[in-house]
Amino acid sequence: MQEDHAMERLERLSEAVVFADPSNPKSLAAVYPRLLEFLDAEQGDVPREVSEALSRLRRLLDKHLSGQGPLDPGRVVDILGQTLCAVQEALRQGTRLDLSVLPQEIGSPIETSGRDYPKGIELPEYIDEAIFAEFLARQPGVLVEMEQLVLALEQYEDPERLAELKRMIHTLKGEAALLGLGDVETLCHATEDALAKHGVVKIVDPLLAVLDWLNRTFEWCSSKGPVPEPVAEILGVLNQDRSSCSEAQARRETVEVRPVPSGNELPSPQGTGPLSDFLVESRGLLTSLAGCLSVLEQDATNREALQSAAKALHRLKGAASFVGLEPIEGLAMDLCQVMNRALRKKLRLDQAAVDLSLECLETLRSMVRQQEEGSSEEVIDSERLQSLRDRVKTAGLPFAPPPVEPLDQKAIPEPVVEKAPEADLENSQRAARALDGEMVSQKPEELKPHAVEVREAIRVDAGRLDRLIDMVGELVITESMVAQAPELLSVSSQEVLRHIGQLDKITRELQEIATSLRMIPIRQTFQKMARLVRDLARKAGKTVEFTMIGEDTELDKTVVDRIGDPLVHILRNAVDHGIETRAEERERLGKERVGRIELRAFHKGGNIHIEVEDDGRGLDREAILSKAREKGLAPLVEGLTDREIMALIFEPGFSTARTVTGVSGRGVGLDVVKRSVESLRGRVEVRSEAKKGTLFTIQLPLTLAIIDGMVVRIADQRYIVPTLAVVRSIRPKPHEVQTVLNRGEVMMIEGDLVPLIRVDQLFEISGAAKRPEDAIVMVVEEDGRRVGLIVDELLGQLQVVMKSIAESMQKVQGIAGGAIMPDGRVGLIMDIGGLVQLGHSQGIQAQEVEHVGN
Amino acid sequence: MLGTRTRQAEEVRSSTAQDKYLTFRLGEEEYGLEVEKVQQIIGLTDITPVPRMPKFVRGVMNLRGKIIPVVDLRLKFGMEDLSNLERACIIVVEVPRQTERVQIGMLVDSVSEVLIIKKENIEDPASFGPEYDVEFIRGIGKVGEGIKILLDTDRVLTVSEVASVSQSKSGSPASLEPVEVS
Repeated sequence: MQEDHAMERLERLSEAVVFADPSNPKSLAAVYPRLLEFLDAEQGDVPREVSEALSRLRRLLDKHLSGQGPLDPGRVVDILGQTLCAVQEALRQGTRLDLSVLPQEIGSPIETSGRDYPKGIELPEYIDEAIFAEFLARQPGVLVEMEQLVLALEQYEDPERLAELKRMIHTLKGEAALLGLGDVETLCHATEDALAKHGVVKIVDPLLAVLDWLNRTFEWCSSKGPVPEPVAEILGVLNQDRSSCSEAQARRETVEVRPVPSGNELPSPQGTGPLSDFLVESRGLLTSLAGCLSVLEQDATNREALQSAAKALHRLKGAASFVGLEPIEGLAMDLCQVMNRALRKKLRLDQAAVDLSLECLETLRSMVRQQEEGSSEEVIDSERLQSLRDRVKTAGLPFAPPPVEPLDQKAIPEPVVEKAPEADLENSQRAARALDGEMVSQKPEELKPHAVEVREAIRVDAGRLDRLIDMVGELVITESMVAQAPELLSVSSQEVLRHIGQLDKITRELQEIATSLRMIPIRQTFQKMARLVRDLARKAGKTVEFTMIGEDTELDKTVVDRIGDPLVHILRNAVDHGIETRAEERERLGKERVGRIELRAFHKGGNIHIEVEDDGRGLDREAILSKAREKGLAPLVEGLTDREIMALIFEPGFSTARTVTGVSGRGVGLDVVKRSVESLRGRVEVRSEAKKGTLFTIQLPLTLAIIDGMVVRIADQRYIVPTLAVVRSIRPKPHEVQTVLNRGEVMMIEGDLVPLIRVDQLFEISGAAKRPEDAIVMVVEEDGRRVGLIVDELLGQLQVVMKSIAESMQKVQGIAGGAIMPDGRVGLIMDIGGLVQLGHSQGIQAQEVEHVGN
Repeated sequence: MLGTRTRQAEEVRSSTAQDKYLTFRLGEEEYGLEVEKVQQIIGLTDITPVPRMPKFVRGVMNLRGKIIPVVDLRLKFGMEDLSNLERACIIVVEVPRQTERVQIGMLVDSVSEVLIIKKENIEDPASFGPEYDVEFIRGIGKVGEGIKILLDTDRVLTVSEVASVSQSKSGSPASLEPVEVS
């Protein structure tokens, strides 16, 4: 049975060989998948010799297909045929295949398994597959870019382009080293040397060969292509016209040749030169490093974070060395080494080490900033930098055994590892390769390339994306116009109706996809918060445990970018005023000594909720009330519910903090939070229980483009009021509306005097209801101020895609934008804030002053 | 290669287009504007009035999913409101605004025809008297017995003008950030 399966596969393989045309080298490529199929299948069912023979065939083909084989295609086909015959024979007879009867070209395994031969990708154990996959997904683009650079340089050696090319190769080298792609690393290194030595023009062909080889290698890694030829061959091509110089020499030369401009000579950051590239890149790297470090602070053994940190540092090192920023390069290198050692469990990161890493991060940041500003002033003098680097080198504790009690880091001098991280990595790779080699000789199936799923991503211009989303929005509207056309009612054709149903379904789906295009996880913003809380807590001398939930919750990119500031305010409040100053105080209240702050993001009812919860002191109801009285903020505080009292903290100029600290309590406070959340069309609420803690809830719409609106009629015109602003709607009785000082009207709603705005007058619309009792008062809230809009009728609710009408006109006060209504006409969306202001300027200030007291 | 060829074609096309004018009527007068500025001509559709705008801004309309303003040229030029809108048309033109170009609709009584008016037949408006010497009149084209008032669309609908009128009217500075729509 087993043999039969093997026979079937062999049959197909032979068939492919028979059909191969010796005169056409490409036709042999068709054999390759069959061969792979055979080898990839369960290996247990064929004798070891058979697999060995086929593995040798595969290597032969590998070589041949990559154009490196010494044999002509005819001979290759012969060898294939003969070998397969022998294999078939052996399988059929059940006899042992004698490897010595095989054609002499593949008679011995030594020739094809030389030292330089790539042995399948064995990822270092600390490398996540996802990282590798991400790396592989990026490479084709990178290689194309490099190729373009090489070709452009062939025409004209533009130093900027050359620098860019070198930087890319260097980056690739660093990444390859980290991922354990020793051959790629070696090749990149040799290429760097060659570039430094010869420039581009002389070695264009070898360079292109290098790029091709890299391409093949990466394809092989992604299981998309055959094994590339050994790196030694391509190295040979690269070094052809070079005198034999040792690697060490080449290395030294590289350093000399490489342009090392000083800070002042570099092109300005606005330019497109290597420095500006470096600045852009380093900013991203430092942000991701910051994220990693904050994770490490919680869990110093988090592999993912260590990996990313090491990767970021390595790239930073490479980038910095490229533009000749030695201080940055050195510090990044040392820190990278620490991460690498932690990864390999040679060292354990303790609190001091994390702190030190953060200090390094700050130093790196300020050094980068200095470059950005182009100031020649040293951020950190070389002495301090050296001492920092020395400390970094001795950071951390030996991994095992874990210390029984926390010890001063100086008490255990960690032997300084002299080797550069790459050298170290190289060693481990060599070891891995040696090990790999052993395994190969025993189990040929280990040759299978390490398959990783590569998810492709495309970077798209944001403007185009927005246009696409706009168009889909239009499609949705047009579709619903068609689907609801009254003429359709008379259509009796089932066919047409079915198609329309289908159209509807597709349109909805398209809309869903379109809305998701702009969505990104909130992780990036959350990571910054983790760092912030940590620093704030340290500054305030409090211990705070910070947890984040739902970092993967997706939000519109604009929201993710802009929600940071309000969160900073809230978290500052939580750390500074929320969490008790002394742990004893917490203990007395029966709480854990360590304060707890939780940041959460989740979906709820078509909205995104972001919550910040702390288990600190909570809001003092009485303090808020007395503050409110003092400020004259709420003339009627007595009647307020708890929730309304809490809401007072969002009023401008409101701060109950008794002491002003470095970061909060300066009077600019939660009103800013409220305003910025509202600018994102969101809402913020606070709930709190004294001595137990506080919970802030920010409620945000899923996307900024679509809003929920209430359609109202004023005379013959329709307007859309954002539903979020609407508190309630009332049909007033004649006596409820009073005129104040002949200047404006007010209405008593729930004990509150609410100023009324006659929208028809503000907007100069004629024909609206004159008497309030014929109209409807729509109470809306903006910035904590309530006003009543007088409209004729409520027409219903609607979701609309908000569009700018101000593109061709200046902003229209009182109008936030426009939207295409289901009937295809344009509806205008009211801007409540603007309306309130308009109302103000038209003489209803009197009540406003009384109401909010400002 | 391809780029040069298209550019050449563009030049050929534009050189002939330069002399072409789309003419339209406002009351008893004939006006013209360069054909290449015209994006499309549509019949009168629903226009949503925008409050607190100068009178000549009729409102906004839906142009294939885009919201564009419509300017009534009659009102803009101080003529009487058109009573019979049967033949009225909206000419959609593109005008520059800061760095980008935006579309604006112009409401006119009726569209007449496309004419070729050679440069030598276009006279300086100032020579026709001071009332013609306004920024947005490009020249006076002579066609047979009649004259066509050739408009400079870029100027006739400058945003600064629209804006300044709207601001002087509202009388209070704009308060909030411009609304961003993504």
